[in-house]
Amino acid sequence: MEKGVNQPFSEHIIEATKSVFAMMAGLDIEKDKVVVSNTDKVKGDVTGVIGLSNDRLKGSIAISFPEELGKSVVANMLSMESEQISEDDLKDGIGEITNMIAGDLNNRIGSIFKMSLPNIITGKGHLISLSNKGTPVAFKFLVNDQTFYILGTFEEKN
Amino acid sequence: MRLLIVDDSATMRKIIMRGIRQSGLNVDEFLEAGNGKEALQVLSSNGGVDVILTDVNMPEMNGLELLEALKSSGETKDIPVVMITTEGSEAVVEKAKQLGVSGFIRKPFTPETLSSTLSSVMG
Repeated sequence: MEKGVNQPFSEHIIEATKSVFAMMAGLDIEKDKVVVSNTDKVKGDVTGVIGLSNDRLKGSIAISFPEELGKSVVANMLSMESEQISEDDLKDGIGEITNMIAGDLNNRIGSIFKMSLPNIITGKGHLISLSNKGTPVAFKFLVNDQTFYILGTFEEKN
Repeated sequence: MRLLIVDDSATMRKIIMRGIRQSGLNVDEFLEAGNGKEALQVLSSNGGVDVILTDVNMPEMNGLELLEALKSSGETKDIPVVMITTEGSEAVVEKAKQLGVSGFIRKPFTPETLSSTLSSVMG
């Protein structure tokens, strides 16, 4: 088995991501590689983060884009041109993508989690850290020769 | 047909409107609200609508609270309400059914799903 894909929910995270991009933005995306440690740096310009928890587990899903690609994806969702996407459109759109991926993942595993509302982090080239706790995993995806990352971390509650 | 879309994401409201237009459904006017409380204000100010599409998880007043408010008022109890949401838990679906929801659409969705659900709800 490929390194990292035995992490909890990995295959469902991949499928949920592909489904949201195909249905909402008309984009076919391709998983490139798996990152499972902080020695691999994950950078982005705009990142959506959402929490998931239940009685036993807590975790989060994050999706991080370079600004140009983020605008391009949101533009596809709205049938607009990238140049027409404002900063607010970008943040709101990435928030919705984050919400839908987490929601689709949750539905695929039997709606076992309660979800938070998504938060958006912006800043050119910010580093996204994989938690040292739990079972962190990040997937690098390709769309139109550009890359973005999905990160997931889940751990047992104390 | 007049349609009210309730979602705290302006982007999602635009996506829903785009999807409905793409599906070929004949909508004369779209009204928008960012949460349940705003939706009740929009209805009070603009009169009735033919269908309400609402998200579940929203600040101030969520979709279930909006549904309950609509069904408990004589003026709005007959407006069909469709929930369009990432929230698919049995508890939420059951609660919405008890309150009288007319349909459910899960995000992500296609224009075809929007069209078939709205057509079914409108009879």
